[in-house]
Amino acid sequence: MSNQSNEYWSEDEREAMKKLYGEQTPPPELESRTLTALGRRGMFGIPVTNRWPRRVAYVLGAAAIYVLGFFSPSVVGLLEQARPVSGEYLLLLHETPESMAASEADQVREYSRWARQLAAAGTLKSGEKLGETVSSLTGEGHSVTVSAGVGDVSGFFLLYAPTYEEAMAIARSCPHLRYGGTIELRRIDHGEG
Amino acid sequence: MNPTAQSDRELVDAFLQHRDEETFLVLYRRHAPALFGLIRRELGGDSGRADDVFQEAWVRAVRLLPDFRWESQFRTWLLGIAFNCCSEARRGDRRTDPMEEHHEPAGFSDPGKRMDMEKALAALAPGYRSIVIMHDVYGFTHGEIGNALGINEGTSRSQLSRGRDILRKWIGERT
Repeated sequence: MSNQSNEYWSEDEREAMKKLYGEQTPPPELESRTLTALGRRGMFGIPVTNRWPRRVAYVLGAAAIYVLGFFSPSVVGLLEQARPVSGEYLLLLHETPESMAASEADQVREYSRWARQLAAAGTLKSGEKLGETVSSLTGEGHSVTVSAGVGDVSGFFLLYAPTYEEAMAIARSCPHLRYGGTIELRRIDHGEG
Repeated sequence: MNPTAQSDRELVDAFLQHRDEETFLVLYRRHAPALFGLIRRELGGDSGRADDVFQEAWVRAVRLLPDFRWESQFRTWLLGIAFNCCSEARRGDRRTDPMEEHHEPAGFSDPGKRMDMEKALAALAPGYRSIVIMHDVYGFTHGEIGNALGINEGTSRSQLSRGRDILRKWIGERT
């Protein structure tokens, strides 16, 4: 405190003020959230993976790349080199009148938190919110017609999971269900059969 | 050298050179409790909003870091950013002059009654409170207050004086 404040406030008063504005340790999730926010804005350089364990580098890279949960441009391919091709599953999020009526801010917050947990576990490969414009194409060649389509898919998550059952367990935990939406779970077929 | 033993300036220089998360985390963990305590107190019980403002303060600090001239201590500079972020967060809620929003509880115009410091600070208009706290708790100079809040030193001095007078009226004479 400045000398001038020493003159104005008594020692007890100064101590009371200092105590009110004392340090508080932020929760650990706020640290990861801050790192993610900074990474999303490109404020970090390329992680130095040769200093860190590969998995930790992967997790931090996934967390930094996943842009505030749901509203980010795709960065598919950046993480592919770190994980095997098989065991990928797509969650397609379908909207219902109930899920569309829910608070978007609440949804973003919850979906982001869920996605960060998956990213920290090395499970999340990608995720995006889809725009509202739907174009429907039919025909071929010069006969392709385009019309306004009707779609209820609002977004997707692309995950890694060793088995279909584990992918199902992850899908069950997705907050989209709690908001009344439905989820379509599909395994990515890489031609293994 | 162990990063945790490095000075703020050494860490900042290293971070600006390499932009690595490891160095940032040393700075973050060193100063986060001070920022978090301040923001939580300034924004009252709204922990969700406090978390958002805390994150925004760090984002802003990293963005402004290349322009930091070391004319104050690093923590002072960070706290100034945090105060500014809190002020902006409150501005979104406000419809009146931040210097006029006292919520003097009934009965405390009575000179015989005293309010405790916590209640008095909570009741004080945010604009005055920030300056009192910046100066009298964190030791900001009026120049640093001016830089952080975008006001001139004279305004900082007059608002500090006014804020102190109001608090003194509520908490009673110095004992």
